Amino acid sequence: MTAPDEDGAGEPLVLSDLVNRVLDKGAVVTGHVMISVADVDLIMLDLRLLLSSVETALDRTGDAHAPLLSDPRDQPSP
Amino acid sequence: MPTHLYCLIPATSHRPELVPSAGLDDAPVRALAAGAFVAWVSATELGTIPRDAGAIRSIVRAHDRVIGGAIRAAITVVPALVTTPYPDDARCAEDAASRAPELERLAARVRDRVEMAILLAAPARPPETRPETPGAGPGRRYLEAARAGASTEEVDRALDAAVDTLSAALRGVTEGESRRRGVDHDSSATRHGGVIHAISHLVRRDTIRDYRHRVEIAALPVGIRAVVDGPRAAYSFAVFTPSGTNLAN
Repeated sequence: MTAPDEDGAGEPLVLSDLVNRVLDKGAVVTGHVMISVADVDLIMLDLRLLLSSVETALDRTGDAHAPLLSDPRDQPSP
Repeated sequence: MPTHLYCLIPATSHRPELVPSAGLDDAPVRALAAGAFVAWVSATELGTIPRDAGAIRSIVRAHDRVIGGAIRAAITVVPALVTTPYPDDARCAEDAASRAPELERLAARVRDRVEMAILLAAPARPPETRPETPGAGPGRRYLEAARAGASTEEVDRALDAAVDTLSAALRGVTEGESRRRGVDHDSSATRHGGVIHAISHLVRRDTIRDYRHRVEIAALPVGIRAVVDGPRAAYSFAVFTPSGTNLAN
């Protein structure tokens, strides 16, 4: 067992969990998608979709078209 | 200007000297009367939750830091979720005051208790150690994908076993449990990337030492790393969700 700050590696781990628990309904979905053309991998895009927060915000605004999150494919590469 | 809510504290146990001087974006934290509770708030220029993951992490860090002051002082704290800010102080106070029964219930649940969390990480094989074989045919690629899948299943099984072991080891000192699987597969979450499971417990303050000791001596599967965090506010067990916070209302 290690303490969060003992080796510096636990802090991001803890923060990641906090984000998920503190953010409204907050699962942070992180992933990557590879865009391929003719079986050749071209671009790796970073997906950081704060899905539940966006869904919650949309619920509250009642506006499904509110520009809270653009298409994930518009997100900049890391 | 919009109002960010950090937490609510029963007015009877509130101590003004505990209010931190700065919160989000170094804005002064203020104690706002909200019926039988005191709300810790600060002004924010953010109209809604930003999209950027880094900005979100900064907000969560500041939010938790402010609440952490109350937790360390051992007073009863009902944490608020991070969500769209209130349009102003009045709407925040009105929301909290109008939900007094709910707040009383939440405060009773966390009185003399805190949340402890155990983050379990199983470093996955770094992607660079399993490159695709150059020029591999479909059959080879299928076998490599199947092998990677099997490895993930093994890691999941080990993490599940670790969670069950800890849950059993902590029986008697925990009053509530919240599990979260695969919290984050982000490679920045662990030094080498990996799969993470998280388990949170509601724990009486006077059993925190025992809790830590039991985690320390628990026999976890080889390769599983456990990080204990806490005491923290009871985000997983008694959290206040601000309502009616849409600025357009």
